[in-house]
Amino acid sequence: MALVFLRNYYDNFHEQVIQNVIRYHSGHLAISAKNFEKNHSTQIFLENGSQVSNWLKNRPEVLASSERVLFSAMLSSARGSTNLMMMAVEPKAEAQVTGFSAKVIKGDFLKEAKERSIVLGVKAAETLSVDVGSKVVLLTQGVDGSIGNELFFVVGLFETQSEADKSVGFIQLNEGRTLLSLKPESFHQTAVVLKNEEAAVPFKILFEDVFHGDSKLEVFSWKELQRPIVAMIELDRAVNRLLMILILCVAALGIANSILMSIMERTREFGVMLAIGTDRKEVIKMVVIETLLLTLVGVLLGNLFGWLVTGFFNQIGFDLKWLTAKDFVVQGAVVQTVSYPTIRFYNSLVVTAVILTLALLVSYFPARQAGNLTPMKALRSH
Amino acid sequence: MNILEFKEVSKIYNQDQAGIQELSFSVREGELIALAGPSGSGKTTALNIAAGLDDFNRGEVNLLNCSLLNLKPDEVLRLRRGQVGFIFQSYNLLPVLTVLENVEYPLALKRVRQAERMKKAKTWIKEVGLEGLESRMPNELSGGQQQRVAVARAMVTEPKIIFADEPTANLDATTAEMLLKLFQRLNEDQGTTFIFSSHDPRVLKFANRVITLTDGKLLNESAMN
Repeated sequence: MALVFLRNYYDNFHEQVIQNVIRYHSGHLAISAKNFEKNHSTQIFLENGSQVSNWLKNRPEVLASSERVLFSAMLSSARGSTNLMMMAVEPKAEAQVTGFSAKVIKGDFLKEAKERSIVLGVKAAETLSVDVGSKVVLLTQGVDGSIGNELFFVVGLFETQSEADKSVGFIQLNEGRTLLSLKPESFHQTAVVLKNEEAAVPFKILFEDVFHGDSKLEVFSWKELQRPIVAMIELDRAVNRLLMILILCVAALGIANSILMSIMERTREFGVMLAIGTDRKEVIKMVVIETLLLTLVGVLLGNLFGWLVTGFFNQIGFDLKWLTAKDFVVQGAVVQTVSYPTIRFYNSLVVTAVILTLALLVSYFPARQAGNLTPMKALRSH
Repeated sequence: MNILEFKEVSKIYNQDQAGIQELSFSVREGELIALAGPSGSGKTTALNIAAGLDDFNRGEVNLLNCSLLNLKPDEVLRLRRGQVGFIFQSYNLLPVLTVLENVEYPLALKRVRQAERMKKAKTWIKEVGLEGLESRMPNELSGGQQQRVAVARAMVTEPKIIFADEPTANLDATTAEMLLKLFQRLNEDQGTTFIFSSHDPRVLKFANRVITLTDGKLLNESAMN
């Protein structure tokens, strides 16, 4: 049960982290001006990104792409101020790339017709003591050194239950360009979501091939942008494998102990069988088959309870808050403490196969011990 | 023709306790032999060694023209399965099997088809007077009934030789008489060789020959009527 649930839980947890990275951060791929991802400087931008945008729009592999102007800003209200990572985006395109628009709990996400609109996270709004309809002043520095300063109206509040709720804000792309004194069609980054995650690497290679003459461009897959996340997942998987091995060792000891106890209790019975003329191989076979059948019943019940527990936590969520205190962020990517594990039959198959193999291995030696008993010694035992 | 030969066979359990010492005797095919003697005289030890259930330290044992010394454990098992029946004093029924399954078991080991197994097992259960108790578990039977199941189990394969350790020890007089007459009938009709260990006079009365042991040694052999 524990193995089935843990495997389901961890697989889901890792997928959730990856989805968070893709849906709240960079998409599958991020195309940006050279060195932007390294330095995150507003000075590094693509002056004319229309060639890239047009090419992306015509590729069948691309589900959506969103041009972004990214900059740090100070936001002030009548009651407070805070620093935010601002994303100036085209609302429709961004809604297809990231999941923020779906997380708006009050008001709306950006609407193109509405000027000077801003969408904030609930915690940022709390810090500023603002709500939908409130005014805030955004202050930033343009790429030419000028000070960009504008009044915005809060049109929506989102809640992702993550760090983004207090550190990210959205405005219209053209307004972002104006604030930073960027020319039209300039941007820092285009986030790309593909129809199939597996296509990320081949698509990146294709892009590099098509745009190999443009030294101002560079493209990164989410794995390259989020190396700490990939490393964290790999490390977590390694720790999980270790945990699984430990659980399997305990299970093996349990099985071996049960078989040995059973053989000790049934020594006389084996003596009778051998005395009547049962072949030693038959005795060994019998013990091994009995062990496998018992283990199979245990594994089936374990799977059943594993599915039940997985299904239960799929509904209510399995929250590690009592262990980790709160969600955390690795290089901007949210790692939520709550996960909704799903039943994965592949995990059940793996667990069943591994435990049955283990039972076969640990039962053989006690079985051989039973088969090698001499009838009279066995019959004399109590 | 000798079906069993003991040639100066010794079995020592430990330094202080000798099971049998340089015991020699032989049994001809079709005989009904009783090993007699007081408790601790080595009757059961001799019977166990003769049936290949126990090993021995010295001497030679020939059973059904095979020297047990030269046989590997698996070969002894096959010999026992094919041609030897054994009735234990403490019944030794398989506790997880019913009466019918216990009696059927030796036939299953010989790969006899199920229909035939059932037929033979039921015949022998009837022979020992347990008809109607086929589906009972051993722990639902009295000591005497368990002993009769053990007898049916030993008989069902129609072995050439049957060893019986105190076969009447747990039986009332009527059942003991009934079983001994059954042994005698099999001995006379089918030529099955019987070797009992017993100090029960009722058993000794049925034997062709009585081999008396004391302190693990042969005291005397006497032919009966």
